[in-house]
Amino acid sequence: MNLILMISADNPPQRRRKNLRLAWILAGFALFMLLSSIPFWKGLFELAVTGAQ
Amino acid sequence: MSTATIDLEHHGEHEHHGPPKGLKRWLFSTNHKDIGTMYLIFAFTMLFAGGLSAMAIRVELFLPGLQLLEPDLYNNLVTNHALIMIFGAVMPAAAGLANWMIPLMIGAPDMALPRLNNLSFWILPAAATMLILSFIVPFFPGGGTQINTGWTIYPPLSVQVGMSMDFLIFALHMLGISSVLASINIIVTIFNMRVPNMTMMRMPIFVWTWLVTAFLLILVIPVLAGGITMLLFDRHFGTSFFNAAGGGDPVLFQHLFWFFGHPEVYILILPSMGVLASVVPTFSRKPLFGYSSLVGAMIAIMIIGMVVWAHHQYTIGMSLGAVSYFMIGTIIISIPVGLMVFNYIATMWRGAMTFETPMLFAIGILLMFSFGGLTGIMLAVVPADMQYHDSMFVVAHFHYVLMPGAVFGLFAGVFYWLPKWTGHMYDEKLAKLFFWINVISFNITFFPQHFIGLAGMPRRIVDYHAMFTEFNVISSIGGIVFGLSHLLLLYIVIKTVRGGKQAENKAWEGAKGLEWELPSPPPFHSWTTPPKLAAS
Repeated sequence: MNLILMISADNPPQRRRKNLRLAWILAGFALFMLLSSIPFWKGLFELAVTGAQ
Repeated sequence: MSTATIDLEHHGEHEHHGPPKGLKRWLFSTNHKDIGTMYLIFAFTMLFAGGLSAMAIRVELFLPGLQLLEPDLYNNLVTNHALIMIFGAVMPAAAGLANWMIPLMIGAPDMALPRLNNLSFWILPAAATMLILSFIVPFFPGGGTQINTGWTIYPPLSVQVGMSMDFLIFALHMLGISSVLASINIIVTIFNMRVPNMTMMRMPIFVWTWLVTAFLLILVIPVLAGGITMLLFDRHFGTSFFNAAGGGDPVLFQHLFWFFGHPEVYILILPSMGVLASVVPTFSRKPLFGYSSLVGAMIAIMIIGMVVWAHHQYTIGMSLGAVSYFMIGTIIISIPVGLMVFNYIATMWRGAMTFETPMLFAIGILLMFSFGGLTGIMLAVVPADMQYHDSMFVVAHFHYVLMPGAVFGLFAGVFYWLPKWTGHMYDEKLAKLFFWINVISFNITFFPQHFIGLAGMPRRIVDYHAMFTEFNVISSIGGIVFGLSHLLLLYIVIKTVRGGKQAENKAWEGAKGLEWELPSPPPFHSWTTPPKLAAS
């Protein structure tokens, strides 16, 4: 009972939503870095090789 | 730093909740202090695992000729030493400090996402098991060849290694997921959970260093994940990302790896620099010099650190324009790093200094880390690096950067906050003894490696020419003492946990910050009512 009270007092729903929203934005950003890294680096590398030639 | 007025009447109202009992307390913990403790214990265990392989390496190199290890096993140990120390010891230890201290420092009751915090930690033991298995699997029938690539796992060698490389790739993925989840949690906590009136520019520098570190992790770990996924595809699914015969290029992997690998150096160092920002003012009894410039320096390190990665690859044959850019960028990064060192020295200037163990480590860090930085500038210069590349000089350089810059900083943090965590003062005499043995043996181990490197001894080779014998003997003796000295650290920590002189709330006379307003040890649930900070 006390534990439930404590959680609700310490982490009100509004702040919890705010925390989760920011966490999902950051996770999306990390996913973007992962997915973009492969074509980005491959493209940049090919550009550098072509430039060097 | 902020001064707090604490509402003690309300603060105590939830303190009667003790922690849950037994294994459940740790397995299902969402408490930042318990999770911080688990991170620290895990890191300490891995420190010994990585240390054992380092000692085996130094025993092998004691004399020329093969002593104990076959070449493949030697290379396996070189690889596992690096990976265990970086991913198993230093990063989790820094995360342990973050878990313990960030909520206490910003007046938050816990991390913003406590269950995610639990997940971030518990991925680690599984990942570490996978990591260790990757080194052991080749010893079983059908286990394939040992990992002889070094921590950089460059193709084409890493494509040819047996199934142990797949274990390693999955271990790195899991470690990466754990780091990214922990970073998300840290960023959300810092942005959303600060006590009212604690603006960004009033946060303790330790919190700032972790904010920058967490962003760095989110930016670069996914790129490593991309690289090793491509490697996995090359190994098993017939792709040719890094296969020259199929139209790919192995050098592409080097770019992907070092785009992660170079910022990783700052990921390891910055939290320790944050520890210094707490330790140095405390034992100098002066406010931190140049708070804003320190914040600016960290952000500059983050930005510049992400665009200088190819200085690890000068010898691959980049164009003159590319190497010039990476050389200049690398030298420029010494400015913000030097500024941090300067600020800490300026903080000490005319302070009423005392030399407790955390301060001894802080001073040792400033001296030895600066030395490692200077050899870093030597290595940044392209024509010079062409000579030093892949020599023992590089090994000496990065150990002078990472041991003082990361590990000694973590030791300073452990000694500084141990009274707060345990409620007991540690044995100062033993701690100082540990410091001196540790620092002297560290220098005996790594200083001679500069000379043998400059004289031409290559790294990652099991045997060497007889002309390098004397310095290797010295280095190995130092290495064994250095490794064993950590047993003393273990003893001091256990002794402090078990008892000792009661620590006051503010364990150090000159300490400032919210964490020192709480009892030592802090209650299981702290800051259930936020402390009140003055508006300015």
